[in-house]
Amino acid sequence: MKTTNGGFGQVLVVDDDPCCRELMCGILSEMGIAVQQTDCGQAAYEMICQGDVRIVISDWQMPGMNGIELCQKVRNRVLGDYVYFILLTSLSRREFLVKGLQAGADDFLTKPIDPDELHVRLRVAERVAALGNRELIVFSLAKLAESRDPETGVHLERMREYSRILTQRLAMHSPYDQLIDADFIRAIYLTSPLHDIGKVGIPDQILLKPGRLTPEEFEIMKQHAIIGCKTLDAAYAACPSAEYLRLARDIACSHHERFDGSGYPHGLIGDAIPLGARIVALADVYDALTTKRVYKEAYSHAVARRIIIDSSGSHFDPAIVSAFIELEDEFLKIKYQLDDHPECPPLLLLESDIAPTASLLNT
Amino acid sequence: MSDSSHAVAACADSIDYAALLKRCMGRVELMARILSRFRVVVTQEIAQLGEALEQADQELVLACAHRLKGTCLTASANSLAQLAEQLHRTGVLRQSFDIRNLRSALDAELVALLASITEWELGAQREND
Repeated sequence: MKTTNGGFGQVLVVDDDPCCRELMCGILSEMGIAVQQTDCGQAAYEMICQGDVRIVISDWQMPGMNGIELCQKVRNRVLGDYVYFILLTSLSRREFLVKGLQAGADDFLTKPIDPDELHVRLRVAERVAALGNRELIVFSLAKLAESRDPETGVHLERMREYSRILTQRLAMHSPYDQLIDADFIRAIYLTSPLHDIGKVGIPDQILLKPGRLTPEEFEIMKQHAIIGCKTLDAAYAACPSAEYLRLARDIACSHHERFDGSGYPHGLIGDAIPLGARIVALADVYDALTTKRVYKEAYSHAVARRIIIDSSGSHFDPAIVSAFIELEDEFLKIKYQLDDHPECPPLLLLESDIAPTASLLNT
Repeated sequence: MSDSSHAVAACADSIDYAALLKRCMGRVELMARILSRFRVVVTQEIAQLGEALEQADQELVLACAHRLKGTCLTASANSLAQLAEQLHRTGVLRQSFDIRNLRSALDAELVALLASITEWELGAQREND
């Protein structure tokens, strides 16, 4: 999938009719899409197993392995990327469509081909194929980061739930209703677990150190934001159609920025901090405060709440703090549903416990 | 790309050149390649279908008719596609074929098609000259 390929992955046309193959390949070439072709199902399967093919457009009726058999064989592969399969046919009766879907086909095209319809269907194919890869890439990367930090537990799961509900709530208020749509909410949920991906580049003696870091060690620890940013930026550059990687990069880079400009790595102020990063910053801090770490006990929701409110406008975006206040019950629900240690009662529940802890964390 | 005005003018009875040109995204050279290939393929497929009819092999007739229909639809050879469709339907319904009439209809359509393609190609060549 490259920009030089019209935004599409490699397309394989399988048809024993040379006229149809010639036409299909001519149209795809005109659209700037890289295309391979073959007249035989078995040869097609071998080409698919090479790994470059993302979308298959196959005729239904062919001698030897027909389109249905090819589709079933592709779906039976245990390894390999998802291949979007379009069956091409002049058969249009319902029983044929059902048979095609049962074999694992994603879509159908009816002969004769209409170039506009072909283009639209390929756009759908590309979106679906990208979605499959997206889930896989993000999950793998997040798990990699998580594996370096034994204390996180279900931190990532809670974090993305907090981030999702904050984003949903913000979308109800101006001006965020113009900035946030369903795709953004979904993308935040998907990419927020990548916020600390850069920690894979931090030495064990610092990342896993029990107790407070020295100033020198903290300077090294701060590099995780830049490492995460560079990693995801490289992925985004290689795949510019994957906008979610841009969001993931912004979050990884800027989730330690503070609203008043006192954060790191760039000291960004206010709206200059990407919205996704401002949201994840609050979700991340809330979870860090309310869970036990090697260097601290878990604080109660009340303590965390007071710290966050006190940090409105300094550490956090006031609009996001307001959304947090509106969502307190939801935060608590998520916290207890995804608790690392459900048998332990929440600590420091009294308001009187708040003041010394808050002042400690604000320094 | 050459001017495509001739491309839609010739013998539109056998082939809908306007539809084919549109399907080729206005690319006359692609249309020329399709027609050149179609000329060869349709001749072979009609011969195979004729043999299947002579052998009264119903399954083979069905397969050949279906294949011919697909090829003709791609090239916008609509009247031959309709003929292939009728043949296919007759086979599916297990009705008997009127072999002599079918063969002569197929042969007549093939002659008209080839003449039409030749005329189109000559027109294209004249324009290029």
